Amino acid sequence: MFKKMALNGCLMKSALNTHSYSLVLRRNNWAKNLTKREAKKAVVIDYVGENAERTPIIYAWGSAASGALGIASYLRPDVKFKHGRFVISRINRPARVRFFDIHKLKPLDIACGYGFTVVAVKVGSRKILLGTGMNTDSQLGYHEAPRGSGRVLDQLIEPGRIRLPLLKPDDCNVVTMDCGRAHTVVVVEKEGAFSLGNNACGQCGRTIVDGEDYGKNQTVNKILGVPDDVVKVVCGQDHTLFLTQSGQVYSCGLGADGQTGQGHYRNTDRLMLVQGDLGGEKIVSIGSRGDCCLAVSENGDVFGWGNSEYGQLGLVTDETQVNVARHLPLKDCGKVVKAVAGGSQCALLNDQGQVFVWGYGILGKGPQLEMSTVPSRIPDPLFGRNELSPNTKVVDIHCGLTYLSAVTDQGDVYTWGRDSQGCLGLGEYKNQFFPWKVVLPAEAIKLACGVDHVVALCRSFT
Amino acid sequence: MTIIKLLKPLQLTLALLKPDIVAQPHIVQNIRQLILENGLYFVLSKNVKLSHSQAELFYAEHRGKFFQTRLVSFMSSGPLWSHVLCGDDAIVKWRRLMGPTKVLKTVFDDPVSIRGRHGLTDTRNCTHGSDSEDTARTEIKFFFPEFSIDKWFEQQHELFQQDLVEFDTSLCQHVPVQANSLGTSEFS
Amino acid sequence: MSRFTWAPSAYRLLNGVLCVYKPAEVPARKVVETVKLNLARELNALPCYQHEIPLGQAGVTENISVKDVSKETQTEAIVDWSEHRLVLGNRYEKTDFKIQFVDGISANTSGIFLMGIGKFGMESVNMIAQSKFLRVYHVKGRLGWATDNFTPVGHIIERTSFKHVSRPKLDKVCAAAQANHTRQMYRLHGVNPDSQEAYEMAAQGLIRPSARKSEPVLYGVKCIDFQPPDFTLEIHCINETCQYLRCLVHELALKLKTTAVCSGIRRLRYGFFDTQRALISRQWHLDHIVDNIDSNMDLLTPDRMFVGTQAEKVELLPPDHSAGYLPEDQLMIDHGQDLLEDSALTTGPDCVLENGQFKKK
Repeated sequence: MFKKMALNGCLMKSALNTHSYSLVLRRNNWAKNLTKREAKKAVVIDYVGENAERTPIIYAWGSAASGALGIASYLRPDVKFKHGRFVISRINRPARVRFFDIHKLKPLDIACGYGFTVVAVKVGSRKILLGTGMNTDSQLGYHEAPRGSGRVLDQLIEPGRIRLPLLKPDDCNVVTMDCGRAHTVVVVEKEGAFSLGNNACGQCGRTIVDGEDYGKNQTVNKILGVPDDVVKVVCGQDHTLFLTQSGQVYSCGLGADGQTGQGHYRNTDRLMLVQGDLGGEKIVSIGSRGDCCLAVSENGDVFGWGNSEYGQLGLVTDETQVNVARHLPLKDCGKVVKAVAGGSQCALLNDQGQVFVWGYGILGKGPQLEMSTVPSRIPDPLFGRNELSPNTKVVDIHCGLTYLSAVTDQGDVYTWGRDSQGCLGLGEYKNQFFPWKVVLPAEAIKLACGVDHVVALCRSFT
Repeated sequence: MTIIKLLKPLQLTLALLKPDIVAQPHIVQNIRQLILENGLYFVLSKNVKLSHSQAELFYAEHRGKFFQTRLVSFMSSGPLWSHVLCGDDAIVKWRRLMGPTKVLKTVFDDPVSIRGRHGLTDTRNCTHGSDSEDTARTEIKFFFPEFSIDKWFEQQHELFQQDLVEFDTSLCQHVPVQANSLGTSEFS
Repeated sequence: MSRFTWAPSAYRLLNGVLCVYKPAEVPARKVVETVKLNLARELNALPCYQHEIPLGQAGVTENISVKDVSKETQTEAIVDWSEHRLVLGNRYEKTDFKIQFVDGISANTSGIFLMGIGKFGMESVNMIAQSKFLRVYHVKGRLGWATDNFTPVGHIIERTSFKHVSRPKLDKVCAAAQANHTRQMYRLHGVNPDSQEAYEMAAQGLIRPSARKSEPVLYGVKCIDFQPPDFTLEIHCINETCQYLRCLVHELALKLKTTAVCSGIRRLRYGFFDTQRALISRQWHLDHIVDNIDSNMDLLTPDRMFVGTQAEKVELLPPDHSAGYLPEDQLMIDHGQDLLEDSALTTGPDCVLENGQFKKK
């Protein structure tokens, strides 16, 4: 149509020949393209708003069958089958937990147990606690759906709210929290410490009731006798350690390996001070995931108690169990700032960012498995320190039962150890014999290692 | 086939699923699947919860050993699944499926066994199995006092031997194919 | 004028590796053509033949001194034009120079460009192309634009705001890109990752990939200059292409929640060849070329040529000396030649070139 009109125009002006006719057409196209281009240039798209902050993002990987990853679509056959895909029971690379983005929740703190995850979030001005995963021992509180139906959930596939008996339920300022095999301990600012879940060994800090059924439990207990200035709580598999501002360590729970460090092998259901060499020392960091416990004092001294079947405390004893805290005489380790203990392996971090490992299992020094009682250093280049980035250093280490992980000051996460259900997050279901970087599209701030899953609290780059 | 089976009677063994994996239903499901795939039959199943004293009684043989306390506290820390399994060489077969006791070593030595895959620590090692026919007898007696092994060999043994049983998911045990109702009433 | 007096002797010296600085917007083949033309012209300007009569002189007149007896038989002196340059023609043509070059530099990229002249030169250049030399680039990007081919001349797709982008953020994204490739590097080094050998290799530091044609590996990504909307990255890499680097700029910008185009790429090093050795376009003449070939001979020893034929550790220059480039000079693409004039700029004052690598004094 347009062509015809242009042609008529050309014919009317007899001076124009066919050549100029095409010129006219081209000019029209050119003008059109120009205006299009200019229009594109005029619009400036904002990917980031005026007052945008760096978004906290949660990534999770490992076993998904328990629901601990909080990604419901992995466990919902109705949704997945519709799209021709099967349920995902495990995942070996970091997966973004979109639940928090969709509901505009800002994660503040995370903790992982065996098959469950607890997340403290901020919604608008409210601060609440969410939990997802296994709830067979009420470690995530009481969840009845639909309400009043008597159908109590044993497993949550998406985060659900954990209601703590607080004076201000919408202002749950979590100081610190951690999860063990089947219990959760949360310390809330100005409200005290609360415990949920299995109390068979007294790990919840309340009286052991023989034959108690922990499932479908509606009550959340406030732990009595907890000092006001608790700064850190660490849960082993079946015991709990509390660290106060003043540097004292309290313990309760399973003591069969001496994990409570109170000079006996009985279970304790009351918070007691850890005995032994800790007296007079100001402890700044404690670590325990399995049955061995480590503590680091302000001066960089390391103390250990609990299980030593794999030489974790081999520096001070040949026994398999130690029931009081003992000072570990470490050599050439510098000033230690953090120590963690897993099932059979231990690791420590010094102020230079160097990582030392000992114990048994995949320690991160190649595929040779050996029991070592003396800490040996993992070379720094494995954590990304090389000629081109000489200042990279490890700032935090974490420990699962059979694997270790480290976070560098760049926000990179390195994992190594035994793989179970893809908990290393390296894209493969196999063991990793030395530290290897997890591909995370954001900067990691905090890592929580469960038994077979890991949750990372990250921050977007912009 | 039948003749060979007739020559060798089936063996009974006790299998316990410990509290650490009973808390994880998907793992329990996996293990049961594994047992069925390996040609073992569930004769009886029961969800029990041991009290501290009962657990001490069960592990009486370990009295005085350093791991006795933690074993007892762990066994009484939650519900258990106890199964009576039967099959050819059931004791050895089940112990091979379980893998060695020391979980933290097993995860490297025998990673495909149940303990290698799901075990947490040396104490929290998923499962228990009888180590000989005599202990199997006493342990079955401990968990199923109402169950008579001799009576079972008289009445049910042949059905299991000839594979005339099917797996009932709700009961989690094998019941005779023809007399479905009869089997349930007698053995549940 | 050339210092040579005899063209074939100069021609014989043209056998080796030539390192030139390719200007932007000139295709690689054009550079080779120019060098060939220059060489042919300048060699031809020299004496080329043994008995040659140069241009401007008359031919040799024979019998000029012979005075014949008879006036009848007296003839004009015979001028012999057979040895005259115009009769013999040019001795050197373009096709007389066999030149091969190391590929991988696109037309609008400037920087180090290696050519092999002659039989030995071509063989050497082939070997250089085969071995896995580390390359250093300065890549310049401009925030706020997105085009279809990641260059400023492509069709504009959209404009974005970049007010939120700051130097620390860009640094962080660069570090993340580098760290991810460090991981890649271990994967590509061709050793079973479950072996003790792999652990020991990884514990040493940076490693080259074992296969020649593998994915690009970035060893270092660092922002050396940030003046919004422009920024400059220094990239150390292996197996890259220019398109890959442009794409990288785009992807880094996407991580920063904006867009960017790659406004220029400059190659500063190719293994042992750095900007100090490179000839700029006005030096592409016989004398300089011969000198350059001669000076590059010391780099063609086997221990240097076979770099990275096996997976091994990479030696890198210290990062505080950013590959002979001072970010104060904003000259990048078109003024590269001027920058090269001052050789003091190419290395820092307190480092020397030793063994092909920058070493601190």
